[in-house]
Amino acid sequence: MIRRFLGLIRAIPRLPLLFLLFLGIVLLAWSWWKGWSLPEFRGARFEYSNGATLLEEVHEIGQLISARYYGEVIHSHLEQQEAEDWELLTLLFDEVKRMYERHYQSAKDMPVRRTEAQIKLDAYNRFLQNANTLSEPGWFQEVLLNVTGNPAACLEQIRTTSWEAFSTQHGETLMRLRRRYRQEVLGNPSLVYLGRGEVLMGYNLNQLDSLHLLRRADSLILQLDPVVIAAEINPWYRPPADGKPGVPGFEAVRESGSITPGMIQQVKAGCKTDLLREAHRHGIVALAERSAEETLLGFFQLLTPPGDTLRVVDIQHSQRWQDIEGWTRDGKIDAAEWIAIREAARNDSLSHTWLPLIAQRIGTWGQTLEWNLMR
Amino acid sequence: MTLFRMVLLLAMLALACGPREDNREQELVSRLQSSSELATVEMVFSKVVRGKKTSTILGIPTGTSDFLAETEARVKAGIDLSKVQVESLDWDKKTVILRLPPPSIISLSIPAEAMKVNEEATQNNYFSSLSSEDMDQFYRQADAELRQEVARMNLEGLVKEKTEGFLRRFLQEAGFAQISFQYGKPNSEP
Repeated sequence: MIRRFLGLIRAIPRLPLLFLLFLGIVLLAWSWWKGWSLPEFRGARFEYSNGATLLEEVHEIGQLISARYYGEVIHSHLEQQEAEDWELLTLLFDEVKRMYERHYQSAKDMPVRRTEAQIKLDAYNRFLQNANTLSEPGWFQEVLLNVTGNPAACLEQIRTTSWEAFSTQHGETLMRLRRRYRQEVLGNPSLVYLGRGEVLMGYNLNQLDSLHLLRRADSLILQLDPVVIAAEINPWYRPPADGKPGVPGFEAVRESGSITPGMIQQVKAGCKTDLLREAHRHGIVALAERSAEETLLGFFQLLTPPGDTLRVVDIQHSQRWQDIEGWTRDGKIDAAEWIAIREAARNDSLSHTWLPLIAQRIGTWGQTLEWNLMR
Repeated sequence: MTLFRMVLLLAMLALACGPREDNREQELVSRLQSSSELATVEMVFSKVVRGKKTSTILGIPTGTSDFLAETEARVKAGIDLSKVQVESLDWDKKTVILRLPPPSIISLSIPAEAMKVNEEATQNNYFSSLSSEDMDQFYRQADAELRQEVARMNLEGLVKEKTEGFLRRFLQEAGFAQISFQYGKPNSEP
């Protein structure tokens, strides 16, 4: 059989084979050099049917848009899971704390004279024997206990500290370990989106009444807080027009595994939050303030009675906004500031404007905080 | 003869090669710019997105998937506040006539969180499954269509009414009793 096969190969004329090989290499090299791709045999046809468009609601508003930010961001499903994972880690921390405390107390109460180190070792061993009864999956435990590189010492720290203090100290390491586990150990479905859009920042002039207006000499002082008027990433960033191709707003950069519409929606929402953060990084609030002051000065000057002079419009932010500025000025937040921010976020309808600012100022850890607060 | 066939085959293969699809425009750079628009009305639209994908291999259909979703669009409209002019002003009689610039669409937002796929009507065929990019294609078509429909709806009257309403309230707070509006270029301009 093998001899027959070898005989068949020998029978093939060598010259055409070599020539074919040579041409193939030339073609591939040329395709690569020209940036061409190999032919695509698979294709798809899309048929779109026009669905109904209905005007559902009309709202009267009075919003001054004083700054616009245009930008491009990338967001992945892995980042999106941060909030969920953070909540699980918070719950696990409390559970671990309770369980370890129980074992520590029973090791301490034993009628044998032992050193503190022996008690801790005993409590640690007892904890390990019972760790499988904890509600969260094993990899979460591993993330939590390996954050300091020494599980026994970490358990001791968990026993003696609060989640606020623990997560402030180890927040970033926890998220790094979590990311590694999700990617390397669990091999989760992957979805990465690129989003292009714009953020509109300005002021709600409907809030402007005599209580928020103060005339002093030649200036007018307004007490207003900036507000995100829109943060939009539309299907088209710029639709095709005049024969020019359009620029998509959302573009799937990577997609693998089982992706659901819910996951797509979550990642897209993440792109929007990232865009807001980028707008803050570029200083959209400062520009919105400056630009609104100029626009309002021009408008009020038109209506100033003769003999009266208006030279300055000064927009001042509320105490809440000033507090937020103060909490994040050093680029860090401590446990007490975290509690204050959480309280403020619960009670302030404008938190969607300032939470991304906090997240931008305090980095990855802040991003996690922001997700938790926004939920 | 065999050689000729091979050369012919390679030539066909070379012709079948197409340029790599690269329609991404790299011109977008993040930028911040000031603005002076006053949004006075927000309109909420609902839209149904319907589509069908037919996958093919060498032009032969292998399966069809249906897609159905609902989405929402928020359109904000108003005027450019920096272009407002005073036509006449009488502080004794508390009357003012303002010349307003033509109203325009300030922003159109189709929020991703408002895109709801109808999972009952969306049939994902094994040989023609819908990817996230496929769904985005349908959304893009819906977006383009929505923009055209909003432009066709002639919302100018509604925007003018709401803009005048907002400015009237604002100026009444400032002490004006009689407020009127005009549009377009001042008479003095050519």
